[in-house]
Amino acid sequence: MVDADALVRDASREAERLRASGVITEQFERELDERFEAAAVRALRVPAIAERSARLRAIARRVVPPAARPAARVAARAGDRLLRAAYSVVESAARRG
Amino acid sequence: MTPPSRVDQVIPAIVEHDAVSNHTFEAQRILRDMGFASEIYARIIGPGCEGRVRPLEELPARESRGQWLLYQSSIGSPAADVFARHPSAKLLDYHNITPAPLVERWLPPLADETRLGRAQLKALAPLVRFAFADSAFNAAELDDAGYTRTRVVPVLVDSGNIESLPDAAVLARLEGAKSRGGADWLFVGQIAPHKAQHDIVKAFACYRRAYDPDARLHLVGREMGSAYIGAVRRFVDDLGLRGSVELTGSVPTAELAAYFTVADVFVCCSDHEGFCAPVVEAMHRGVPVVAYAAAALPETIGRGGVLLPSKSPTLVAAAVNEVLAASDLRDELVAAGARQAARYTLDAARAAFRAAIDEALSLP
Repeated sequence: MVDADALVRDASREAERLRASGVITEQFERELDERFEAAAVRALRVPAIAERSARLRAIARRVVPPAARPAARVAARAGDRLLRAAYSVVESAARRG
Repeated sequence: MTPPSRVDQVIPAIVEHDAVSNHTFEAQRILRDMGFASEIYARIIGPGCEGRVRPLEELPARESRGQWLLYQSSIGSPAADVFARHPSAKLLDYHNITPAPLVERWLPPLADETRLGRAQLKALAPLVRFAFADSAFNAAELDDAGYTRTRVVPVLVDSGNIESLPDAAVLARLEGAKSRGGADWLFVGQIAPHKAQHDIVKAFACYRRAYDPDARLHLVGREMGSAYIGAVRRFVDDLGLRGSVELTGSVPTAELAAYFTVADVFVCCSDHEGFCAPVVEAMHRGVPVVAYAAAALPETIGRGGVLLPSKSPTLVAAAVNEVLAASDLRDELVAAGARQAARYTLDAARAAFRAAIDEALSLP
C-alpha cells in the first residue's frame, strides 16, 4: 500500500534540497512567475484592442448613415494607416533616445 | 405525486469531447432504459451533436402529461430561466460553476456568466424537487445554495472513451519521441485559467532543469478563449520550451488514448475542479497522478494519487521525480489509482444515478 503522505514529505524534503543546493533557486522560481506575468500582459493586450475596435465599429454603425459608410470606411482605413506610420516614427525615435 | 412517463433534460450547451455533455447523453440512455421517454434540449448545440439533441426553443412551454425536467447546471444561461418557468416537476444535476474571480481577468464575459450561474442556482433551489451532485464537494455547494434534498452521483464517464484503443499514427509519433529518452507529462482539460496550465509549465521547467532535460509535456484540451492560451504559448516560447511542450487542442478519443498510453505521469495544478473526469481516466489507464489538492480533487483522487499541499513548481517537480524515480513506488501508486478509479466505473455511476432517480420518484 502506497503511503502518499510519506511521499509528499519526501517530495518536500527533496524540494528543499534542490533549493539548498542551488539547482532551483528562489530567483529562478520568481523569474518563472515574472515571465508568465509578462506573457499574460502581452496576451491580454490583443483582446483588449479587439474589444475596443468592436466598440468603435458599433458606435460608427449608429452614427454614420448607410449612404456615407463606403466613404467613411475608406477614410477610416487611410486614417488608420496614417496613425500607424506616425506611431512607428515616434517609437523608433524614442528607441534611438 | 404521479410518477412521470418522461424525463427530459435541459442543458445550456452541448458539445463533443466534454464531460458534462457526455454525462447528459449517458443519463439519457439510463432514463430510456428505466422506461422513460427522454429528450435533450440545449440552447447551444455544438458540431457533431446535431440530430441527437433538440433546440431549446422546441421544448413545449406547457407540461406534457407526466413530464419531469432535469437541468444540467454548470454555467449561467437563459436556459435556466426557461427551466425555472416550466411547469414540470424539476430535478437538477450540478457539475459545479467556476468561481468568477478565477476567470475574471482573462474572460470577463465568462465571469459574468459564472456569477449568473451561481445566482440562478440559488434561485432554482426552492423550485427543484431533488438535486444530484458529481461530488460531495459539489453537494456541499448545493447545501449552501439552499437545496435540501441532494445525492452524490459521480460523472457518468463514457466507457467507450475510457476503453478506446490508441490512434496508431499518433502513438507511433509519441513513442518515437519517447524512444529518444525523457519522461512524458500529461494534463487533459480545457486550456483555461482555473485549470492553471501555466503552473504545470512552471513545474515542468523546474523538472527539466533538475532531473530530466529531455522531458516532454502534453497539454490536451480545447482553449477557453484566446487570451489565456495565448499567454501560455508565449510563456512556453519565452522559456525556450516550444519543442518540448505540446498544446494539442481538442483531440478525438483515439488520439487521447495515445497520449494516455505514453504518459509517465498525469500532473494537475488546477485551482478549481468540480470532479475532474480526466484524473479518473488517468487512474483507470494506469498513469500515476500528481495533483494540487484543490476543490474536489482530494475527493476524486482519494488515496489513488499524490496530493500536494501547495503547487510550488519545485515541489511539483520533486513529487513527479519521487514517483518516476522508484519503479516500485510508481507501481504501487498505479495500483492505488486503479482501486480508486474502480469506484467511478460507468456501472457504479449508473447504479448511483438510477438510485437517485428512484429516490426522487419516491418523494411525496
